[in-house]
Amino acid sequence: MQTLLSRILFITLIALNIVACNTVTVVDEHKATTNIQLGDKESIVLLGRRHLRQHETELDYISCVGKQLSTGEERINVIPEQQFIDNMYPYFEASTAPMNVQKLDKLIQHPNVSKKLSDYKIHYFIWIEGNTKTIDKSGAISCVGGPAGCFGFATWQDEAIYEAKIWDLKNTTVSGKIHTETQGTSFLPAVILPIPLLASVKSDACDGMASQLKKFLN
Amino acid sequence: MILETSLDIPQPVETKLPLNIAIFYEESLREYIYTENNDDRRNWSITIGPSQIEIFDQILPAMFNTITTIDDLGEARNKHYDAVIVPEIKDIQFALPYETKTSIHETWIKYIIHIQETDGEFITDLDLTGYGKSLPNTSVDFLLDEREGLVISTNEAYRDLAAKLIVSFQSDPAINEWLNTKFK
Repeated sequence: MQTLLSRILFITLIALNIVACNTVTVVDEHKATTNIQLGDKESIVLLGRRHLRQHETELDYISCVGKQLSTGEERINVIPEQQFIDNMYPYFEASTAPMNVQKLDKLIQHPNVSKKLSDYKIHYFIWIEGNTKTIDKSGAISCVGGPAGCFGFATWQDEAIYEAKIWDLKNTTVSGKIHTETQGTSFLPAVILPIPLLASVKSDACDGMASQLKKFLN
Repeated sequence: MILETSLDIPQPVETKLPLNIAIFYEESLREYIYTENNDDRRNWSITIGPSQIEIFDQILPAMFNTITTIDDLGEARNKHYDAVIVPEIKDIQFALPYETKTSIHETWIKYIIHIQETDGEFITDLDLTGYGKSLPNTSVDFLLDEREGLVISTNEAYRDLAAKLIVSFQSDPAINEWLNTKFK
C-alpha cells in the first residue's frame, strides 16, 4: 500500500513539475521620445504608487526591480526608495507625491527641493503602479493529526500587472511607459505531506520589468 | 491595554514661508487620551497628547521663520505675529486585523487646524486626516503583541498627518489668498 502511495506521489510530482511553476510574461513598451540618455554619474529613482489603499505597489517588488537595475551589465545608479522618500519628506509620501509631471514641475520650484534632487543627480523618476494578486483558486486539502497526514489537491492562479511611467526630470516630460503582465499557476498536492509547487509570478514580473527598463534607459 | 505613542518622522525639507507664527496648544490636546472599554477592546487607554505636541514642534520650524508657543490666545494680541495656529484633534480611530479581515493594524487621526489672525479673526480651517497602517509581513507578531501594531500604525498616521499639514499650508487657496493680501 505504502509503495503504491509513494509511486502515485512520485508520478504526480513529475507531472506537476512539468506543468507547474510556469509563468507567462507579456511586456509592452511605449517610448514618447527617442532622446533617452542616462549619463554615467546620473541616477534614477524607482517609486511605488501607494495612494489607493487596496492597490498599493509592494515594497519588495520595487526593491527587486531596483536591485536588478543596479547589478549586472549596464548597471544603473538607483536611489533606494525609502531613503529617497525620507530625505524628501513630506513631498513623496503616498498621499502627497506628485501624480503628474506638471505637479513635479511645480514642486521643483522650491529651491530646497530642487537642490536635494540635484544632489542626488536624478535624471529619471520611474513610478511603478500595480501589484500581484491571486485571481483564481480551487481544490481542497484536509489534514488530520497523527501518521495519516494530509490528502488532497489545491491550485491557484496569480496575476502580476505592473506599469512603469518614466518621467524625465531635466525636461519635466513623460519619456515613456512599460507595461508587464505575468500569470502563473501554483499547485499544492498532498499525499501524506503537502508539497508546494509555486509559480514565481512576482519574481518573473520583476525580471521582465527590470530587463525592459534597462533596455529603455541604455 | 495602556499604550503611549511615540513620534518617529523624518526631518522635513525646509520650505519656509516668511511668517512669524504663534501656536496655541489647548489643554484638551496636550492631555488627549483615547479610551475605550468594551468586549473587544478592554480598558484601552492610549496617550496621544505628548506625541501631538512633538509633531508640531518638529515640523513647524521647517515651515515658518519663527514659531512661538503661547499659553493663552490673548497673549498673541498686540504682538508681531503674522498668524496664530490652534490645532484641534477631532477624532481618532483604530482598526484591528480581525475586524477588517486583513493582516494589518490601521489608525486614522482627524484634525482641524484653526488658522487665525492675532486678534482672533478667522483665516481658514484645515481639515486633515492622517492614515497609517502596520506592514502586513510583521503582523503575525502583532497577534502576540497588539501594542506593536498600534504603535506602528499610529506613528504612520502622525507621519501622514504632518506631511499633509505642510503640503496643505503651501497649497490651500484661502491661505494663498491671505498670503497674497499680506505681501502685496
